[in-house]
Amino acid sequence: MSFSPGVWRDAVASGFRPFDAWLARAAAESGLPKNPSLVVHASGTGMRTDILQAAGPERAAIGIAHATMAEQFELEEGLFQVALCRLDGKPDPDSKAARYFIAAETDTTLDRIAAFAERAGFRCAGVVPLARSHALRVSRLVASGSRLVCDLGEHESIVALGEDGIVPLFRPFSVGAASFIDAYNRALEQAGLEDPQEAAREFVFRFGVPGRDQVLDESRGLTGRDVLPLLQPVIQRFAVEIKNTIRFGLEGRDPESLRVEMTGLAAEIPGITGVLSSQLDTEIIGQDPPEGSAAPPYARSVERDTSSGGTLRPLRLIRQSERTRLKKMMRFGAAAALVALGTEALTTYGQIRRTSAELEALSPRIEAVRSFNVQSTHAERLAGELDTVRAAIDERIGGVGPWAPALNAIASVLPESIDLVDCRGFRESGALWYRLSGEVALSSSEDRTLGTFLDTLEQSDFIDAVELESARVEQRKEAPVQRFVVRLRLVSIPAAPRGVLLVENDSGSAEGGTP
Amino acid sequence: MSDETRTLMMRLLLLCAVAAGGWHLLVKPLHSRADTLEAELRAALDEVSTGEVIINAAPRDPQYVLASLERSAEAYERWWTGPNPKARMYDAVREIARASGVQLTGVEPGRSQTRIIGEGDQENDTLLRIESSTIDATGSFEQITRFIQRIGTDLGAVRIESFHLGPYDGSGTLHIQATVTRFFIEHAFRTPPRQEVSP
Repeated sequence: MSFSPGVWRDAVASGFRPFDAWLARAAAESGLPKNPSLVVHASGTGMRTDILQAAGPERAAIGIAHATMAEQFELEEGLFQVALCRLDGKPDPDSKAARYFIAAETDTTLDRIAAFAERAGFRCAGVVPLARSHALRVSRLVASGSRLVCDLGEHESIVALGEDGIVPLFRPFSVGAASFIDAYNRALEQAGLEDPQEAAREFVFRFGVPGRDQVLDESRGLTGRDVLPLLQPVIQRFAVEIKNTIRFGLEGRDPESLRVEMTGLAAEIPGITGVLSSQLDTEIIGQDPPEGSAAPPYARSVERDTSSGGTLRPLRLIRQSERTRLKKMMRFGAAAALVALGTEALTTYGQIRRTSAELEALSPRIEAVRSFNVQSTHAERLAGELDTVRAAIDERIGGVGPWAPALNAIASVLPESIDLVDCRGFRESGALWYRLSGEVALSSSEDRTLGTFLDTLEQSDFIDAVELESARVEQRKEAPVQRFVVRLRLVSIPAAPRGVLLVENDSGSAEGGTP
Repeated sequence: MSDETRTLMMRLLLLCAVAAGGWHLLVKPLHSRADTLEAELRAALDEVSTGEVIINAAPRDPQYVLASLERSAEAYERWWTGPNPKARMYDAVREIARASGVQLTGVEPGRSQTRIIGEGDQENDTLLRIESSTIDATGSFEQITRFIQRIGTDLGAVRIESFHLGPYDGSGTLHIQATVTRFFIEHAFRTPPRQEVSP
């Protein structure tokens, strides 16, 4: 849909409200899903462009671009947004700087464009400046080889020189296909055609620079003679701009050594290449228009690029986008936190189960060790108490004598000639004693009965020592007798209950220690 | 700061708070439990490794040693309480005399005293009670020697302090007068009986 420049200016000034109904209808007819995303390619809105040469990263170039464009915007215009397009494939080897194309627009205008799209039910993803797209396309044309390109755009043209990826010359100027259309527009108006905008566009790309006598519209008697006076100033200005650019921009290079190509919409305007070649006195090679392309010519003059760096968005959309991103990040963060918590909990729970299982597997061994400890401790205490008791018994009771066995032993070895008259058992100085009194009927003066008896007693297991206390011979009527008193020291047996001695030896084994 | 930004910030704070709360309520207790179990496992491994080294190095099973010691302790208890702890000295001696075949002619209780074994701690001290008696009996030589033997073995923790053995009359009967001391020990063993060991 084409508008006259006046209609467009009014529309821009009123925030595109006159086009609301048209865009809403177009949106409805497009069959797009609800709230589709829309990128608006815009020009003719008061957008500013410039060329910037800067070294360093692109982020630094953006900062410089903002500073550069600040000079172009008035204070009352408020905020503005900047889109950059790098022209060089590689930095200049001498200056180490790269060349950038800057397109900038006021935030107010961008917000109006976005609001225009939103009123029609779209979600505005951004505004792509057509000038930047055009510059991008030209920069790609000169990216390889060595060539000078004269590219005719919709509203402006660009002359660019490319030398092996470096673009030493890049100059836009405000003559474009729209100027040719305006010329045809006026000619058709003069021929009496009402609202000739669409027809003028068609005539430009159908007849271009016509011959003087060429019939353009037979019904209205429109010939090349009617159009050429209106086209000549445009062609002249186009030629002058190219000529001046080559003259002042090539800095001593021989223009004839360069391959000059005519690209863009100019290549689609019949006859323009020949006219310019003759006016510039240089051979200009025209490029054939793309075949079978359904896109309108203005669309073919731009490079499709909707990268974030090439899209302008008003501050409202930037903040909205940031908030949306923040919300997404929050959702992601919440989900990540949930997953992290769940994973952590599951991992820890698994660790708990593993440790519990290990502990459970270990419990019989722990039980055995603890049982051993308890028994050892118990045994140590009991052994200590037994030691105390034994010490007390040793101290208080002392040894117990084999009174009865010793008495039996005495009786068993007692000769018939010995008559025991008295027997006493007693303790003295911790030792056990028998004191025996008796008499021996002597058969002769050499009788050794008592001595033999005492010797035999001394060999008894129950008697430690035999002491003859007194021995005296008495003469009696019948025969002499020997009266004697002997002391027998008995062996001492520790006082203890029966069967305990064996256990006493075992108690030493309790010294296993306590873990 | 716009309302929407403030709301976002509040949501962010709320999210952080919920995440922190969730961690505190769900993960932290699990971590604490895991740390506790880990510490228990380490301690158990230490206990088992140290304990098993000692068990393997122990010359005898402590259960066997303990059983032997307990048998000894029981033997001592029986020993100083005698076969019939509640019986009076006279009854016990009369029973031994009857078993030995001697004629018991008298049992005279002597002095009785109590001593403390230990360091003066009333709760832990062991009490030693000492009772003396003089016993008179008559019988044949064999009966008397059996009587003496049984006094030493069947009356409990006794010590024959002295005795006099002499002819009772011209028929060959002997008379014995013996002085014996009987010992009773109270609170000798305080080690409680063995209990079941819980893991």
